[in-house]
Amino acid sequence: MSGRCGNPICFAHEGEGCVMGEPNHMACDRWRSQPEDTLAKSANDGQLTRVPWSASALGLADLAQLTPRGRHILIGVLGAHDAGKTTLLTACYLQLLRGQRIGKFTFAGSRTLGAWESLAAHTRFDDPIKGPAFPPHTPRGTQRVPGLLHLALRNQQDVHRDVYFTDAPGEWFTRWAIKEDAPEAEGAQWTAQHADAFMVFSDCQRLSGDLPVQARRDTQQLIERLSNHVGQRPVLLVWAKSDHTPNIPIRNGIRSTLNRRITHAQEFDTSTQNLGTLSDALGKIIETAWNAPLAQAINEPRVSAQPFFAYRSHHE
Amino acid sequence: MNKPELLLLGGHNSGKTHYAGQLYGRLTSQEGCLRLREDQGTPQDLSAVEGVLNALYSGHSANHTPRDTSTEVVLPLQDAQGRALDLHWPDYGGEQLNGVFEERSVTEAWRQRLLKSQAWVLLIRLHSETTYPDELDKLLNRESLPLESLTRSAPTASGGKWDANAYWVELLQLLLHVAGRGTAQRLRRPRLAVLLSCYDEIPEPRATPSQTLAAKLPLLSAFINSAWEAADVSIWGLSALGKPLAPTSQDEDFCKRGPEEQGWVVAPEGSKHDKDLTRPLAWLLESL
Repeated sequence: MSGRCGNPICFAHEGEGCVMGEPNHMACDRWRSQPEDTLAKSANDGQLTRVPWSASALGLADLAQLTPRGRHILIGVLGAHDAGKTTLLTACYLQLLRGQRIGKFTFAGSRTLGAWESLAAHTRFDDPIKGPAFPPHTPRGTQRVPGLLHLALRNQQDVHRDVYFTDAPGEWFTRWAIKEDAPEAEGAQWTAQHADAFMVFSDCQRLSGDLPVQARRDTQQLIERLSNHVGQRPVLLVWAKSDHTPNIPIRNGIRSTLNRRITHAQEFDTSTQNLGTLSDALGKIIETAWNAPLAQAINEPRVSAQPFFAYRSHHE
Repeated sequence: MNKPELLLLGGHNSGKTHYAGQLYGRLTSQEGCLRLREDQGTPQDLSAVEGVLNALYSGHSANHTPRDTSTEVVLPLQDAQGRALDLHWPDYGGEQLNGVFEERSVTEAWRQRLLKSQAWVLLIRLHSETTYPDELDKLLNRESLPLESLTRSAPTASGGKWDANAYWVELLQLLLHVAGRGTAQRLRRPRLAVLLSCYDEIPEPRATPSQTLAAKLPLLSAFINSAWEAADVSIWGLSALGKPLAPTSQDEDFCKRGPEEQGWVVAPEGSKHDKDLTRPLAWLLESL
C-alpha cells in the first residue's frame, strides 16, 4: 500500500483499520499518500472498512486502542527460558476454550485471539507421527517491547477489566537480572516499570535437575532485581512444574530471598498434572491486582493555623 | 410504522436459505406469532425465497446461494398485538461472512447493514463446527514425555484453522466494532437471537439450546453471555426442515403434506418442538 499515516500509533499502511475510526483511511486528515497512487487506491480499497487490531499479540501502540475503554491490569510474566510461562498461558486459554473460568473470572472477549490460537495450535496434531510439541519458544528479537496477550474478563460482580499478559522471551529477564540496563533487557525494564502485578516463575524441574544451585541462583537474582522496582505491587512466585520436587535447602534458599526482599509476595504451586492449578495461579494474581488503588488524592500540608494563610501556597 | 432491519449472520451451509423459505411459508399460513399483513398483498419481490420454496415443494433441498448474491425480501408483518412492521430479510452467499473474518474488513454495503440493524440473527450449525476438545490432554501428555524427544519434534500448526469458538468470537468482535458497539458495557442493541440450525443433527442435545451451545462452543457461549444483557439475547434450536433433505431427494412428507408441516424450533427455555418458526423473530422484534 502506497503512502502511510502521519499518526505514529496508526498502522493503516500495514492493512489495519484507521485508528481515528475513518472507514476509509484515506479520508483521514493524517493520511499522507503518494499523489500518483491516490486515485487508483481510492477506487480499490476505499470501499472497505477495516478494524484496528490484527488478532496477533499487541504492541505498545495497540494498547492505546483499548485502555481508554475501562480499567485494565497488566500482568508481568517473568521467568527464565523454558520455566513454564507460555505453558501456563496456553493452558489457561485451552481451559477457557473448554468453558472453564480463570479463577473467579469469566471470558468476555480478546483482541489477541490469533496469538492465543497460534499458541494452542502447537498442541493440536497435524501429523500423528510427530506428536504434540511445546508451544514455540518466544525468540529473542530485535523488537524490545514484549508482546502482550489480552483477555477481557468479568468478575462475579459483573465488573469488566481488560487484562494483559506479557509474553516475552525468558532471556530478557535472565539478562535483566544480571545487568539492569542491558540493551537486550529493555523489554524487561518496560515490564518492571509498567506492570500492575508480577508472576515470577521458578522452574521446579530445573531446581531438581543436574544443576540445582545454578537454577536457584538464577531465580534469586531475578527476585532481587525485581525487588528494586516492585514497591507495593502484588507478586506471585509460581513454583512451576511442581510435580518435580527440589530438595528442601534449594527451595528454602529461594523462599528466604523472597521473604527478605519482597515481603508481601505470595507463592503458588502449579503443575500440568493438575490443570486447575494453572488457571488458579493466574486467577489469584488477577484477583490480587483487580482493585489496584487508583491515584491517591493530593493532600496539601497545612503550614499554619492562621486563617490568613489559608490560601497561600506552601511552596512560598 | 416500525421498520426494523434484521441482520442475518450465517456462514456457508448454515441453513439461511432454507430458514428463509420456511419462514415465508409460515408467515403466509397466518398461524404463528408473526403474520403477513393482508392489506399489503404478496410482497413485491419474492425472488429471494422463490427458489427454495420450489425445491421444498418438490421434496428436495435448495441449491447453495451463490457467493456474490445479495438480495433482500421485504415482508409486511403484524405481530400478535396487531402492530404493523416491515421486516427486511436479507439473503446472501454465506462465504461473504467468512470473507469478513479472513480479510478482517467489511464492505460498505455490509457496514451500512451493520450500522442500521437493530437486531441480529446468528445462525450456527453446531454439528459442522471444528473444535479441538482434546488439546488440553495433549498439553498434558507432552509434559510427561522426555525433554529430548520434545525438542526434536518441531511444532506445527494445525493447518491454520482456528477453533470455532475463537472464530465466532473474533467475527462477532469484528462486526460489533464496525457497528460501533463496544462490549465493556453490556449490549442492549443489537438484540441477538442465536439459532442453532439443523438442531435435528445434534446427537444428544442438552435440556436447553443455551446449554447445548455451552457444551459445544463454551468460549462463544461465555462471550455472548458476558457481552449482552441477559434480556437482549436468546438462544434457540432450529430445524428449518425437521429432517435432512438431499438435493436429489423427493421426500414424501414434503411433496404430499407440504413444507409448512415440517420444521420446528426449540425455545430458549427448552420446550418441545414448536412448529412456529416465526417465534425467534417475534422475540427479536417485541421490544424494538
